[in-house]
Amino acid sequence: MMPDDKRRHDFTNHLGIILGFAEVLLTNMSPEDARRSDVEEIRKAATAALALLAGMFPDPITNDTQRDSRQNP
Amino acid sequence: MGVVLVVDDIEGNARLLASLLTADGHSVRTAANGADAVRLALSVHPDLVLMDVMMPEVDGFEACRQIKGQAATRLTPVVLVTALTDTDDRIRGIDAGADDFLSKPFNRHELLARVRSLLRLKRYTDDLDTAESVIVSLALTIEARDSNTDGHCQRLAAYAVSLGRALGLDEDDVAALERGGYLHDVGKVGIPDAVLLKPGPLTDDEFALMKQHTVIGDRLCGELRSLRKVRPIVRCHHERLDGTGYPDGLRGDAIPLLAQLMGIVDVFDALTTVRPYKAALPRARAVEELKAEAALGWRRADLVGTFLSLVERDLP
Repeated sequence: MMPDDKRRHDFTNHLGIILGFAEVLLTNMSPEDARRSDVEEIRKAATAALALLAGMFPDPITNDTQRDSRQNP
Repeated sequence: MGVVLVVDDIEGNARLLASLLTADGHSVRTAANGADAVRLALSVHPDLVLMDVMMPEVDGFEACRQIKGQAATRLTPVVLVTALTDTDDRIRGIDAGADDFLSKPFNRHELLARVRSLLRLKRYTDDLDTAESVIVSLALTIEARDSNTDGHCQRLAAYAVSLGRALGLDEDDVAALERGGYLHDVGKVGIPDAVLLKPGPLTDDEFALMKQHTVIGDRLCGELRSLRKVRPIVRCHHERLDGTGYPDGLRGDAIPLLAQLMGIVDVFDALTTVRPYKAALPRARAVEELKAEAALGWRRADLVGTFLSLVERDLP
């Protein structure tokens, strides 16, 4: 594996955990929960970071997959 | 709903997957490396394995290969979860026997939908497995009805496997011979005790009925894909090369090889054990009898020869 691949892999892993748990929290919170917008910020930042990462280490397959899986959440 | 084994060396990933799956009603076990995954797969019998690819020491590919290589876990679906989406990795995954792939970061809905679909598939293969074990129990029940044939199925399976190996058959054929040993007479379930256990010779009508066990057995195995190589053994193990056998009076090469092999070991075991209608013959007499059947043109002399050399060398 190339060093770039390894870096992309590790970053994706950690950002995926942040994004995933933000989504778990949002699913479990009531719509009125005051902390919702805070968690929403975490989710947005993680999503943006993943998009940046995809731009920094271009991989056509990764980009396609992410676009597809984010289209219909 | 099922038992899902989640394998990831990064605890956060494992916890995230466990949290999503538990919320969807599944029970989750986790392993932090490939070696533990293989061990847990064997002891917990999960319905599905979700496995990270990049792990130190035993990676996801190798763990997948090991899970797919063991008879007890080969039907357990394995999904490789990876932050890499190289085509090369997919090819390596397919080579390792992976059933599906998920890319990180995964979409929750996609993850849960895939898991549900693979669990459905697993239930289906479990049912097939169960159906086969029902038929094997049936065969052993039939053996139990007749105390004279005690251990016959087991011995036949062992003889047939040795013979298949000695002939250099592939593992699929050897596995079919082993199952055939247990199942060859499963059709006797349809034969009344009065005929099956009759001491002394059968009347023509009774013999005609007895012959039906081959056809009944074939029909019983008919629906099971996993038994498709065993069916010809069940149906044709009483055929003879000169066309005087039953149920179809097949001749020569028209008789499937595996059925010919089962025919040889069946006759040998029948001759050397007590039956309602006869005493056990000494082994030397059984050897002569088999040679005589080959000379009559009922059996292939080369196959009989191979079996008899095994008998002399190996059998107690």
